[in-house]
Amino acid sequence: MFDVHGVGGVVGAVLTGMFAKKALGRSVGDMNIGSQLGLQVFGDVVTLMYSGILTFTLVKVVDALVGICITDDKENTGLDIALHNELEFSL
Amino acid sequence: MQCFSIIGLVTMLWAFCVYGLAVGDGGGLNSCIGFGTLFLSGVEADTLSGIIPTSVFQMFQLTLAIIISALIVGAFKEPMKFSAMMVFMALWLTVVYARVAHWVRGGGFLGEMGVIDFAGGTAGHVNAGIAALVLCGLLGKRSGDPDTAMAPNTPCTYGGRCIHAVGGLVRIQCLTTRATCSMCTGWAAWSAQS
Repeated sequence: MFDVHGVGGVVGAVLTGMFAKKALGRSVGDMNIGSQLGLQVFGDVVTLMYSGILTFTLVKVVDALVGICITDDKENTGLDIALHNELEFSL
Repeated sequence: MQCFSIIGLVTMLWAFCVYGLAVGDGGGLNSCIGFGTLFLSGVEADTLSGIIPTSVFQMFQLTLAIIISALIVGAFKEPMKFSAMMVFMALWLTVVYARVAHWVRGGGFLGEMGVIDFAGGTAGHVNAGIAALVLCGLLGKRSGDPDTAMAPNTPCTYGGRCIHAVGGLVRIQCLTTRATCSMCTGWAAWSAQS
């Protein structure tokens, strides 16, 4: 998850600062690539910090409310059976 | 089960308040958060967002919200309880996703500063990616990983991945110009394999 979407998202969002330039094929505008790259990095850092910290907090909140982890034996049985009493497929 | 439940959960929350939080006008606090639009008020048959009907616009934004919430499931699908997942998703969508989406494309401070959000990269992939990493760190590995843990059903996984690749391709093409379509096609072909 993090390798595809996290790393890919950060690289893509930063490089948008370069390839959004009109001369390079995208018609957002004729901005300065250097300052735009800085802005994109800033946007990424803000998002990473906000989302990271808030996700951490929310996990702790949910853990306190309903408990977040399933027991090992239920996990080994499989969630479909242990939680929903359904068998979606067998291996 | 988890992803399908998320479709229902996010759709309900979206209509209730998340649409307003993400793209609504927050007045004096608009750089931080939007509010004031509950139950899709203001979305009429003849209202327009730019050149497209607002009803289509909000539906399109809803698909983004669903897919981004469902992305995170990949990080915790085994060790997390179903009930905890539903509560977490509702909170995460309202508190994290709606806020960051508003920052970058709802008139919030990042968008105003000039940060360009290309095809939902910042609000979507960066956001969901870091949330997944945090969850991985907190929840740990699946029981029995890597020796005895059951493998996912490969045909199901590939089928879902193909649907996601084609859906993502269509969605991204809605947001981009022809010049980048070939790039998207390459990405979709690559992601279908991985």
